[in-house]
Amino acid sequence: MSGFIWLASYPKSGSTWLRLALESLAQCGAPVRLNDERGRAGLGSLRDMFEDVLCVDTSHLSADEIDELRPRSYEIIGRETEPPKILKVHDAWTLTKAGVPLFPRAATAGAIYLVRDPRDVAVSCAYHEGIAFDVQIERMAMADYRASVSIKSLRRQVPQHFLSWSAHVQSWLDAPNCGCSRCVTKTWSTTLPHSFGASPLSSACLTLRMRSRAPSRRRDSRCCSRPKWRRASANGHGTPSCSSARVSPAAGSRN
Amino acid sequence: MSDCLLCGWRVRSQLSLPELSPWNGDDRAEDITIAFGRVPDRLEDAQDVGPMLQIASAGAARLEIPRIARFLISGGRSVVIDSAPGIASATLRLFLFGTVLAILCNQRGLIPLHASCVRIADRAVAFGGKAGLGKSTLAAALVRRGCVLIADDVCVVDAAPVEGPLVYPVLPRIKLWQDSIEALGIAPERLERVRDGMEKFSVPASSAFDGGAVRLGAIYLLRDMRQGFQDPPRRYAGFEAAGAITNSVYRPRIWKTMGREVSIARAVIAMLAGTAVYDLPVQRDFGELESVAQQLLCRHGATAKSEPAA
Repeated sequence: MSGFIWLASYPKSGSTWLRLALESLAQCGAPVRLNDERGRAGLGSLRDMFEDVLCVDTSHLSADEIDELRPRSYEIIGRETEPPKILKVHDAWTLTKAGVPLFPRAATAGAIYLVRDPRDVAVSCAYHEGIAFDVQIERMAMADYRASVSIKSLRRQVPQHFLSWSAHVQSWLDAPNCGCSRCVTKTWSTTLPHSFGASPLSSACLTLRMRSRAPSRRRDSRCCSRPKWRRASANGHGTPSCSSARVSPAAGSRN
Repeated sequence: MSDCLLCGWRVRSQLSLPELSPWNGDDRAEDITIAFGRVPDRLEDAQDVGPMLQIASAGAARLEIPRIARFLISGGRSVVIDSAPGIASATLRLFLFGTVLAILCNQRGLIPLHASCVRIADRAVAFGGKAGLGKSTLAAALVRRGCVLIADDVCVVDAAPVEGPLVYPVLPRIKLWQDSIEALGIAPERLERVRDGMEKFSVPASSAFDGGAVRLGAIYLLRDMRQGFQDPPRRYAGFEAAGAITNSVYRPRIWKTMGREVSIARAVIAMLAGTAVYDLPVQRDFGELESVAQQLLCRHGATAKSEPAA
């Protein structure tokens, strides 16, 4: 068996966390390198990966051209990937302009879809991007939100289609089943701590010697050491304004 | 149309190549011809290297950029371009001087490094590494300090000469994203976009570009380092250096499909004899770019001016 097990989610839904846990599990619990994005559980949107198979600089291709070439690239790399590898992806399950599934059946060995409470996603994404909560909430409601479509510089990842948060979740839940028995949907939400103890993720976390509990808003606000956030703080815009989500980033700054 | 000079070859092209200087060497027959013509859907006995590239068992290659053009590259001597209607010449040249050039090198037994390259003192110094780490930006910073540009993207190395590997200059322009142009303080107004709608520009670097081959002196492999450039570049030795060069040969799928593993390995060993290979940690946001450039100039004993040209 070859191909990919898509580890799909809207961004900031816990997929890096789960990817690393699975990466460790795949190595019988060995410590994992946080920055290794091309291991047994890797990232499915890296330019490098596509350039290996396209043999052309993706920076010379338009976003639409890259979209069109992704399914065939996944098929070709997937054919050579045996046993199947986990690939973390943030795209919604969509069709290209030519009507081809972005995640083609021929490259699919299974899929795991993570759903996190969108209110938590909004808060976490706002910190990740260094933007105000309201801006993030607007993004999550945009019908065709695209990420990594930079006009000024080269991004490490190819452009991706997030759609709206709701459409993202729906797209994966409605994706045609590949016919395998591996396709599962895992719900990750603020209610998760109550049921977390018995989940496979919990044992993976124990293996990683991490505390066996779900990331909370507290953790989110502690994770703001990213350059963008630091810059925002330095500029005096450190506290994203928020009218809809009643969370103060300062509240969780210490554990 | 007059013939032009590319990597020491006499090139006769139906596609206008304004970046290249006219051929003023001997009156040999042309080394490479570039012509417009029909390119078939499939090459006979070909393998799909990827969604855009087929390579036939005899080494001929067919590259198709959807809705832009098909390129048929054969024998290291011939490029046939089957362009879609209305495609800008600059767009065709973008792929011609990238993947197509790398394939020509493979067919001619040369080593296409995925690197930018400048001449510092009397040696070629190449910068490899993943896309987006600043290979071209660093080359541009050195060109502003008086170095001569040898290559951007595809760096053509001939490892055969017994006196040491030679690098053949490709063309005097560097492709830079808008953020690099801003970091270098270049005015973007008069620059040509590499493709319509893209904020990546073709920056001329023609001063003192003479097209002569240069001995390869060092290869730096750029590596993403978030904490900044503090330690001097670490030199790779032996097996590690060989692996680092091999990984930097343009698009491994191309040369592996062409069955060049052994000839690439031989060339890499030949290159190790006279070429230092370094690991160079850099910041993605071009922090300390000027100090890195300055250190490189000092290390390689440049007598070039140390301050960037205005």
